[in-house]
Amino acid sequence: MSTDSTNAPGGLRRLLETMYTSAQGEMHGHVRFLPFILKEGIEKFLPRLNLLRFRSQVETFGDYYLIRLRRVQLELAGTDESVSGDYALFHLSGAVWCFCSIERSQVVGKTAIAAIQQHPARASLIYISTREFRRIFDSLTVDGNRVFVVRHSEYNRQESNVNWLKERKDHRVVFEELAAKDAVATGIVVEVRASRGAPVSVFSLNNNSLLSLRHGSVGVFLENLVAQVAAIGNARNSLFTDRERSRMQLHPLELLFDSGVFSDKAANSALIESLSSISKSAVAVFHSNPYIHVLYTDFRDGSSFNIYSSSDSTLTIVPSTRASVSALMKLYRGVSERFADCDIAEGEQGVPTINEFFGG
Amino acid sequence: MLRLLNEKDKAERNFQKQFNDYDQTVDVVSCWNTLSDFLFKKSYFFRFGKFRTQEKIELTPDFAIGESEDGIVAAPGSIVCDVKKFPNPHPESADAAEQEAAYKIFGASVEEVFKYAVPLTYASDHGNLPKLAFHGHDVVLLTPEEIVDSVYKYLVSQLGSKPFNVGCPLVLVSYYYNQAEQLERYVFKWKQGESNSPFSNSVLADRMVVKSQPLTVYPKHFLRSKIRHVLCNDSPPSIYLLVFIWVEVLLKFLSPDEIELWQSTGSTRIREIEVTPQQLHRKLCDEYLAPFALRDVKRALDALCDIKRAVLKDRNKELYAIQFYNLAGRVFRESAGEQEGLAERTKQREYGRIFAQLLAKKEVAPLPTRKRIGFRGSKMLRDYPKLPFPE
Repeated sequence: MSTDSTNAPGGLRRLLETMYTSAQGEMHGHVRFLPFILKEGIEKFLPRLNLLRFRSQVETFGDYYLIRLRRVQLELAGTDESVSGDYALFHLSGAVWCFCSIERSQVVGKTAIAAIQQHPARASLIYISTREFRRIFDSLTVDGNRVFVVRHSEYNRQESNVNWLKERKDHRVVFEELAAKDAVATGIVVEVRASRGAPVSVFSLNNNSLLSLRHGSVGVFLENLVAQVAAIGNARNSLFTDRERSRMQLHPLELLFDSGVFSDKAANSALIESLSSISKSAVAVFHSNPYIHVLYTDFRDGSSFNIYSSSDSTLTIVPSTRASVSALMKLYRGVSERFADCDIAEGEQGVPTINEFFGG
Repeated sequence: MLRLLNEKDKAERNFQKQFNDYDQTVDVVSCWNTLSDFLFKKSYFFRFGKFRTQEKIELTPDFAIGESEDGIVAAPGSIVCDVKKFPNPHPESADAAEQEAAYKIFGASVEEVFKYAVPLTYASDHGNLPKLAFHGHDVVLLTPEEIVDSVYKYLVSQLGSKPFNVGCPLVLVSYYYNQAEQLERYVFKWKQGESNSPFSNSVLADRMVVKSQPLTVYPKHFLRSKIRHVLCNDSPPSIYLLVFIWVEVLLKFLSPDEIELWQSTGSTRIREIEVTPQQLHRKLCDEYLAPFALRDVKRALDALCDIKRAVLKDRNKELYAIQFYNLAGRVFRESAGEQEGLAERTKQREYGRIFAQLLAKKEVAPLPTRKRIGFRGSKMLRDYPKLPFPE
C-alpha cells in the first residue's frame, strides 16, 4: 500500500483527503498519524533519514514533504529487515512534526517509528500515558457524544504480560477496569457516537501516539485528536528541554504518584525491576532500602539520571550532564507503564525548616 | 572448587560492603552539608580538601562547618568532623589476648580524631572557599548508634576530666537511619552522658543537648547535595568509582552521532573508548563538583584492566582502551539467580552487583596452570565477549 509520489495532489488538506479515500478502498485501511518531537530543523533531520539503517527519497511540496522511507539490512545485522513505507511529513505545532501514511501499522513501526528512535538525541516519540488516554477520550464526550472502546491492548503490571481484549464498552468502564487490574492501556480502538447514536468516528490510538483513523472526518481528526497529542508533545518538550546539570545547578523533575505508593517498601524492589526492564539502559542502585536512590543511564544516547524517592508518593529525577527529551520520555514511560501511573512535573526544591531538622 | 566459590562470595560481599560503607559516609556528609546550607548563618561547608596545622601538618577531616563574618576566622561554634565506623572492640570469638589487641586497635581508631583539636587553617583551593582559620572550634565525632556506647566508655576511661576536651571540646554524636516510621531519615543524636561535651554552636546546643532533640535529615533534602558532589573527603573504593564511571561518565566521551552509529549495529556490541587517566580525571573534575584524585582514576582504570574490560593500549601515552558495552545485557556464569525469578535477575543486572562480581572473581581467581597458559582446555561459555588483547 503506498501513495504515488509522482502524482501528489497540491496542499496538505487535499493530500490527506486523498489518503483517506485510498484507505477507505482497502479492507482494513487507515490513515495513520505519527506526531513526534523534533529537536532540530527539518533540513538537518531529513538527511538523517538516509543514514545508518535507513534510506529515503524526499520530495518537497508546499506545506509538506513526501518521503519513501526504507529500512535496510545492515552488514552486521542478522536478518533481512528490508521494508519500506511512504509518508507525508508535515509540521503540526511548536516542536511537533507528523508522519502521515496509509501503510499498515507494522510497516509504520519498522520504518517511521524506528527511524525516530534511531536518533534519540534529535527526535522523540510522544508517550501517551493511561491517564492521558483517559483525558483525551473524556474530551470527546462533549455535546453528548459517547466513546466506546471496541478493542484494546493492556499491559498488566501484576502478570507482566500484554493482553488484547475485544469488548465493546463505555471508555470510562474500561479505564476503571484497568485501574482495578493494575494494568495500563497500550493501544485502544474506539468508536465515537453522537448523542443520537450515529457513528462519528472510528479510530485507534496507541501509547507511541500513533493515531489511526478508520472512519470519520480527516480534517476534524487532525484538528482535534492529532492536535491534542501534539499539545501533549509540546508540553513534554517544554518540560524536558534543557534539564542537564551544569556543575552546581540541578534541574530536577518529579514523578507524582497516588499517595502512599512508596510506603510499602516492596515498592522499592518493584521500581528497580521496572527501571531494569527498560530496554537499552543500565541501573546502579546506591540504595534500595529503605529509601531508594538509583543512577540510571540510557545507552541510546548517553543520557543519565539520578532517581530517588523524595516522599511516599514522589520520585525525583535529577538529569545529569546529558539528558535528551527522548531519554526522559522513555524513562517516564518505563516507570509509568511498568511501575505505577504517574504524572510528571517540574521538581520543587523544598527548603527544610528548623522544625524539620529537629522535629523528631 | 567449592572453596573458591565460597571465597568468591565472601569477596563479592566485601566489595559490596566497601560500596555501601562509602555511600553511607557520603550520605552522612551530605546531611551536614544540607544543615550547613539551611541552618547555619554565614557558613562555609568544607567538604573536600585539606587543613593545615601551625606545624604545617596536613589533615583531612571528613568535613568542617565554619561560620564567619569576615571570611578569615571561623567563629566559636564552628565544627570539624570525622565520620567513623569502628572495628568491633569485643569480638566474641577472640581469646583474651586477641580481645586486648582488638580493644587497642579500637582505641587507636577513636583517638585519631584528637588530631583535629589544634588551630587549623583551610589549605585547599576547592570551590572558592576562603582559607578560614579555625581556633575555638568543636571536634565532632559521628559514629553509628550501635557502637557509640563503646566509644563513649573508651573516651571516659581515657580522658578523665568532664566534659570531653582534647585541646578543643570533643562532641560525640551517633547516627542511624530511621526506617521505622513512614518518612525515613538520618537521625543524629548527641550522646547523652555527663562526660560528653556540649556543642558550642548555640542552635545545636539548645536543640540537641538541652532539649535532647535529635537532628533529622530527610533524603529529599540531602540527596541533592549528594548528587552534586558524588564523593566525600576520603578516596572512594575502586568499586564505587567504577560503577560511577561506567554508568555515568564513559558514554559522555562519545558524541550522540557516535552512539547512534554504535547502537545501530547492535546494543550488545563492544564500543572501544580510548581515554587517558588525565582526560577522564579532567572530565570528572569539570562536570561534577568533586575533586576526584588522578591516582584514584588511574586505580580505577587499572582495575578495569584487571577484570578485562580495558587494556593499557599505549603505556607511554598512558592510553587505555575501554571495551565498553552494557554489562547488564550479559548473563554471568556462576551467578546463582538464573532460576530465581525476576527479583534475582534484576539484582544480577544491577551495576554495583556486577562490578562486585567481576572484582571478586579476579581477586580469588586461581593461578593459571601450565596447561591453561598454553591451551584453551574447555569450551565453557565466556561470561564476557572475547576482547582484542594483544598477544
